[in-house]
Amino acid sequence: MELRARSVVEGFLHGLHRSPYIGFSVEFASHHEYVPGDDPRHINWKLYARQHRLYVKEFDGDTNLNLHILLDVSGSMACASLGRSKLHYAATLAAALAHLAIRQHDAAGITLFAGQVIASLPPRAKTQQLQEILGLIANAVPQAQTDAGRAIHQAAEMCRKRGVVAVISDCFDEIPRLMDAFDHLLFLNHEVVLFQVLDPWERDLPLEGNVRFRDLETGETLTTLSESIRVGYRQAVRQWLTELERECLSRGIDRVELTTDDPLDRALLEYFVRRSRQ
Amino acid sequence: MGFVQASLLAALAAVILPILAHLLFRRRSRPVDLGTLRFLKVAVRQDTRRRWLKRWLLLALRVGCVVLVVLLFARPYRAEFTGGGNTGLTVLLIDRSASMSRKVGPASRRSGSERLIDHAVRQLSQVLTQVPARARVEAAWFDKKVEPISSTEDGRVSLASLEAPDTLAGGTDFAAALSWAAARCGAARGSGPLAVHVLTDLQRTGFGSLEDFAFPKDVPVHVWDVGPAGSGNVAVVGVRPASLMVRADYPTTVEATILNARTQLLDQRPVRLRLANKSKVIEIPAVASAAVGASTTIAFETPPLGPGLWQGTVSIAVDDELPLDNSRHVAFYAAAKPRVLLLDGASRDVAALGEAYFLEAALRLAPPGETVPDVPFRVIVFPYGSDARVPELGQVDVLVAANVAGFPGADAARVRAFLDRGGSAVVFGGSNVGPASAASYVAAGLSLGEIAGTYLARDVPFRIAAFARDNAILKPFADPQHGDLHRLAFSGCTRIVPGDGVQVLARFRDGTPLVLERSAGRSRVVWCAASVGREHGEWSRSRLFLPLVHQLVRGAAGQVGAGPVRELPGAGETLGVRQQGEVWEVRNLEPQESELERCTPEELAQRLGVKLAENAGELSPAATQGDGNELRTGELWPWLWLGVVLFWLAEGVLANRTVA
Repeated sequence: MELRARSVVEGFLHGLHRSPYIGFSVEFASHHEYVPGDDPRHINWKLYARQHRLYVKEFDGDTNLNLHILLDVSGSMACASLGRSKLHYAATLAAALAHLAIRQHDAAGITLFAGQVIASLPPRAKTQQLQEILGLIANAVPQAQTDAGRAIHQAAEMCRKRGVVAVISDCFDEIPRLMDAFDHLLFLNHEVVLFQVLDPWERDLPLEGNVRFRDLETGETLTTLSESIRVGYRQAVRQWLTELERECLSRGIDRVELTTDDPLDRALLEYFVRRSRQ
Repeated sequence: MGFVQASLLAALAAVILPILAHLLFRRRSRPVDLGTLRFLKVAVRQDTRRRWLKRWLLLALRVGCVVLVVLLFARPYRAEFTGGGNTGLTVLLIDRSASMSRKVGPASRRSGSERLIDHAVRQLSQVLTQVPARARVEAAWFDKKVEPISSTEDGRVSLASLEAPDTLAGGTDFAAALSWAAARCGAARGSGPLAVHVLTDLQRTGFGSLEDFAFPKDVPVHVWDVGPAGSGNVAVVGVRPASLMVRADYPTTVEATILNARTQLLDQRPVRLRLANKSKVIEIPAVASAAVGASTTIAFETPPLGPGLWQGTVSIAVDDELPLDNSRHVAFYAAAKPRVLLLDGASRDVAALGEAYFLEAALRLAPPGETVPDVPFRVIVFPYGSDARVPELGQVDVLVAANVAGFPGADAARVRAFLDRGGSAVVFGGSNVGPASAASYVAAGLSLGEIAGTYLARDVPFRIAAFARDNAILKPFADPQHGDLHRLAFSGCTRIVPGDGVQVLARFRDGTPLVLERSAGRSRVVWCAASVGREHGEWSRSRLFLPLVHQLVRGAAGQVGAGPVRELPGAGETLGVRQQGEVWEVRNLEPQESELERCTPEELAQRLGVKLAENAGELSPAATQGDGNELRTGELWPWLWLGVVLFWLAEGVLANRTVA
């Protein structure tokens, strides 16, 4: 897991250096208006020349980023059409994010959830925090049922320190329940980033012939001819994703749609580049 | 509808395959795990009803493909034709003469093979390929007669279920058949193309009477030859008794003619005459030998035959293609010697002076040209004077009254009863027979009309001017070599005015009847108006007196002419001896029908003067053992082929979108 996470991060960083944009929390965070007592050495005089107001720069060390990673380990995450399950992909992503944060001396923590919170590590910036996070991730096994909404509510109660909450899930729960949980996080002034991980078959149903589909969480089966329902299936999925996107957008939640055949480093790079343009 | 390869319809059992596939392949599906089925359920819910319809439609298409492919190989064709069409007429003539009952092939396999006519009916489907699809069709069987094949009320002639007659006993007459066809074509002229198809074994003897035969030149005749290439036949072609009525208790001769129409010698084949009369049976064996293509005659000498009808067969023991003519029916009547009671109405003490002297003498003598060991009649002479009474008539066949004045009441009743029992009577005129006799003759049932009394010739004697040459009694005298009745001379006669139902068989020049006859069933009353004595001339001493008297008495007894037996042609009737009222009919196959020599279609067309169609075919059993690949009109395969393609394409398209 560590090797995978490191390779992802290094790939990401390699791409990042080639990027004309500067990623977050590496050099600069933001400005705030000068108030008496701020260090005058950090006044941005160029900005004063433009704005005729005094603004003070804020740096990484000033923000104390807390990265909370919420990893969905429900049964639906076991879907593996390409030989690599969504859980495996999501775990790698979680490890990469943790590696990146800790590398930058940010605090990172992880919470595993399915029907409820299964395991949790609060955010810390210690060196061995990464090992502990990786250990927790490596031992994650898919749980039978999911209730992401309830679990995220629980996790929200556990994420006391304001920070970035990266939810890594397939989001197969009811959208209102999910949004309710996200609202809880936003209420606690967290910045929420949703990494939605899907299997290519789940998104596109590219199968042919007579197929007996099995629900990984309930065990329910359904046999049908894949071609005959493909169009309707995709339409339903698209409709669901559109609704999810709309809900996330309305709440200012960044949603990253990933499939297990997407290279993880490239996916991260594209996200951070998009984010930095905002 | 018919099928060229009907046996392939058994492959329809293959429709079970798509049904099994429909049921079994449903279960084969590939398992896939997904994180959630909720989107699948949404999609499936929309698709369920459409899928249900597609599944059954797919099954129907697959079953339809199997059915169409099987039908494609079975090659159905339309075999029925509607009546009342407006596109011409096609006449089908199917030969049902006796020669069509042949079973062709080696003797060991003939019993299992079919007759030529059955083969022809079975091959009708091939013939019908030449018939335009919308043509009106009229069909008929023919031998010596033509019998149309009935159609249903809507004019439809159903040939698909036609069956050949079981009994074929008629001769062949192409002219009669084509005359009928010509009449049908004439009635349909102007409605469209006309054509005639003849299915026959082309028997050379079957041309019939061509004297008044005419056939339209513009109507093509298709001749379908169903006969075998070679044929051989042995037949009894003729049986001739010495007479259809012979004397009882005397031997007689029956001749039989055997025809050897085979390509090999007929050597010492057993022939048998079998005759039966009630419980008496006579069998006389013989042997026949004949060269190739030749005939031989065999004479069977019978022992003395008792009275009555003798009927039977002459048959030859041989195994050939046409067993029907290996035996021939024969019948003749052996007439018992008539028992004659001669009532002499003017007897004398000296017999030679009696009225019946010459008559009795004549009846006891043999007719000219014949020699018999016994008297031809059993004659009892009874002087019948005024005091005499008619004796018992139970043992009498013919009552002869010579110059009898009349019959008292009891005698008249006895005579009438005798006639009612089937007895017959001959009455000769004379001076005793006059108007006063009429009432008693009427009472006795002997009257043939008004008795006018003696009528004497004046200047010249009465001579017979005309007589019924076709009547059995006087027919022998039609040949003057047997005697010229015109030479008889009468000085007088008893004039009779004929009553109703009386036939005058001979008249004098002035029309006065001489011989009269009345028949009632088996009973006959014959009058000869002239006296058999000397009153009316010397005719009783003429040499014609004896044969004339014999004919009169035999005629009264019903023993003249052919007697009760008639020989008639088969003409499609049941062959054999059959009683029709008082007559026995003997029907045999026409001898020409046994000659199986064949002609060609060209010869038939040339002799009948008809236009032979070019695409006539051969339907002989050997020729039609073909591979069945020939195309037929009316076949539905193009539509079936199109159906298979469309069904297969639809199945292919639908199968990719449907759960099996």
